[in-house]
Amino acid sequence: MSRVDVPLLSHDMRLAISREGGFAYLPGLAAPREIECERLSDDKCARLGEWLSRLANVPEASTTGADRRCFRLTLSSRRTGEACWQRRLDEPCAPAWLVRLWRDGESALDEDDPAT
Amino acid sequence: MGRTVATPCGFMPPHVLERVAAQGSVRLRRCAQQTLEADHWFRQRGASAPQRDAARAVAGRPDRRIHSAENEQTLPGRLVRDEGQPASGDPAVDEAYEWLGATYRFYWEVFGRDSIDAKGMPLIGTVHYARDYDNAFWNGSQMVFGDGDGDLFRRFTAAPEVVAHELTHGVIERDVGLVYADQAGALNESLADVFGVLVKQYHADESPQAADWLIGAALLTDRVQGRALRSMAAPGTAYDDPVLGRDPQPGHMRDFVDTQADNGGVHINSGIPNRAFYLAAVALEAPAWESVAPVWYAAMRDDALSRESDFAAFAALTVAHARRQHGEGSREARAVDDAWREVGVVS
Repeated sequence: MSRVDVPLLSHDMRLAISREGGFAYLPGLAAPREIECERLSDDKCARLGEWLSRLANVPEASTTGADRRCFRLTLSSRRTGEACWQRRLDEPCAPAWLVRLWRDGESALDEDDPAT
Repeated sequence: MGRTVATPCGFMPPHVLERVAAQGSVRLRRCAQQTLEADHWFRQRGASAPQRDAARAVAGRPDRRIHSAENEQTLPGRLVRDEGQPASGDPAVDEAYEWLGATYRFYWEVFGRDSIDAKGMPLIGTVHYARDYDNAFWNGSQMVFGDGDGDLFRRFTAAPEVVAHELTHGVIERDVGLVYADQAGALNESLADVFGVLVKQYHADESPQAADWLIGAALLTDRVQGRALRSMAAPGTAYDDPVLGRDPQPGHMRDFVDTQADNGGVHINSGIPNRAFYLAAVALEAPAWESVAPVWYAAMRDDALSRESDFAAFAALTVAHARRQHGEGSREARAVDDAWREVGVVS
């Protein structure tokens, strides 16, 4: 389960995106954004898979320092709850589409260009 | 589901309550990876850290360099106030300069320590980091402060204990390198809070009885239902707000939070050693920087403290140093021992 091996998305999967770290742990702001692949059209599911595959080029979150924030992404099976893929990315390294996905949920998948 | 609240910084509302059901195997892999990376960092530490500038550094005087990221995320940004320069008129710049100076003075006058590395390391701070940024952090070589979103949080330089907290992470990193996860990480966070609040009390010449023992009180806007981000005197009572949620800190080991969130609860379980320090300090009449601070400082620097030490290991060291510094049956030694017992770390 290396970070380059993004599994092929299926409708059984759930993507959880959480923003972690920071000066304080604030429970009200810590809940993960969850995206159920079952609710996505085939096109959006494919787009999400393609975006996630681009994260292979983004370094894993640094473990130096303290109070730094990062994004955690976890793909898991809805049926078993078992996680099959996970990444942690430093906040400044997170691509804009990931921040939009975390902030806005699956509506962010309406936009074609993940580079913006 | 929780209400949706749009904030300028784009905080996600608490609309999904179910937590990630990550498996143990994933967690173990994460922990192993963190340990390996941290080990690598520990061996390499200092390699890229700013070094003492012999031409300008004088022991006993800080060497501050305040930069502005100008709302970008590039560090350190543009130098806006160098050591000895007059106030800039920018509150964030001048607060960072003042509180980094106050923190330097505390470490120098109380412990004879010359900066983060005890060798005159420049104090590099960056303000105006990103846009509406609700955070402050230590990145391994400098301190970084956001402006806050103005809705929930004010600028993070407004509170001296927050600035001192971040600088202290550098001190902890140089002295012991406590792993930033689980109990060792919570101890790391607690030490940053302890010395952060000590800087505030030392600067204000406050007794432990008069101090508020709050972390981040000046950061919260009037819209937040809370007093601060943490309370060392009463962990778990700092805030209870519809957006932020309820302060999750325990003040006793029976309420220890076993979680994968927050690097294993580093900002959550730090409430336990935080309260131990508070209890020890208020049990004595002397200012905290004279009574228990030297005990905590000596324990932090003790070679017996490992990178993965837990609360109990640190507690034992503080008791040993209290006895060494003040005597076997001294009030100070009893206060420290009693404090750890009261929070359930020592039985």
